[in-house]
Amino acid sequence: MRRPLVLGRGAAAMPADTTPVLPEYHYDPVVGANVVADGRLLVEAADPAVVANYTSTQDQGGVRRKDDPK
Amino acid sequence: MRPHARVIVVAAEDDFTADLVASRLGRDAFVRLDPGRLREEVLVTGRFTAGAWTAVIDDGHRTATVGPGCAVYWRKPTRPETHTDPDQRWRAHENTTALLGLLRAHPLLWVNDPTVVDASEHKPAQLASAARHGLRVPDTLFTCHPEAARAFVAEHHDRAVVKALTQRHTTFVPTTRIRLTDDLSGIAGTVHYVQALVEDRLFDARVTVVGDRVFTAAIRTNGALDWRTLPPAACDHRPVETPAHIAAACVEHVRDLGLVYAALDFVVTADGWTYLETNCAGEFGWIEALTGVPISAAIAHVLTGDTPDARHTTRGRARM
Repeated sequence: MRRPLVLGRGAAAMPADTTPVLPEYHYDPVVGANVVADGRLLVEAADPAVVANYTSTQDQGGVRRKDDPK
Repeated sequence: MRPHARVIVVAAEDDFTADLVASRLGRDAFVRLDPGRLREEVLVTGRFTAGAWTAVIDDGHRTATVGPGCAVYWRKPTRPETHTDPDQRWRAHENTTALLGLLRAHPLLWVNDPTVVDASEHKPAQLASAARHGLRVPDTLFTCHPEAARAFVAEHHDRAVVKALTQRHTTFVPTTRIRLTDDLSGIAGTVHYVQALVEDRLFDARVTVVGDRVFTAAIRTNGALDWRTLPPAACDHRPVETPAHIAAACVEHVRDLGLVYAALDFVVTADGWTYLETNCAGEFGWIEALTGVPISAAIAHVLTGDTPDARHTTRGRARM
């Protein structure tokens, strides 16, 4: 079976050095969200551009398109 | 006694988009759990007695008694296949199935019901619905016949694109040009999704619908055919006004799909707005982070019933 045309057009994964670094964080079940070391919400403590990179349509590794429902 | 919550957030713990919505809800308003990686301190109990289900979810800090007045924010729980251990894969699938079933047995507000999302993801039906609601839709071909594809590309004067229908089991496949000079033999044996190219784009538009509200961001690149190939920082994102007829059509289209939330992609030219697709579980976090449009607050308002948009539905269009 020949390779589907569209699979020959996959995008290259983004270079690792373009992946922004998040501040240290952990999920806090009491808060119900991820927090940084001083207890602030990660999504409020981190730079918006960094939050954007982690909440966009692509996984950071380029493996899965996050707009997929699963 | 634990606080009583009315919102059930179903999401992976590393889901920062879920964090955005959680941050708008008020901590005592919700319980949060990931059935794909369920902590043992999270207690889910459902009982069917005298013809009715009762269910309680306790996340270790708050309790939600499932029933009228409750809402579910179903994001993307950890997928079973991410577990390397087969017992954990089974456990993840079993927990997700059980939780979904218990929740769907009650009349709840869903943002969104994943079974309805699954039924709404089919692009042919989306395109037809968009057209019915007055949106401009590009000429589109689904075919595994190379010559049919060639004829379509020729009909459109060599201005056509090919897209992946799904992004499963592969690295990301962007939208690319398909030309008469291409070797189209690879179309045989696989149905390919081909569409007329929308040229002379001024910008791409990401339209996020939450109930009756519409939030739109213009996405500008240096001529990229598919902005998803670029990191967000390489694109210019700005909030833009949505033309009233486009906003109304988007709201009706999303409602037609049985959803409360969706993210729609458009190409905007001097001629107007051309619809591309509806992402029924589409991401919005980056749009909010870069433009400030208050999508997470709008979702939180719908979940807590703070707006006239809040609707309760017993079940969506998917089969039980």
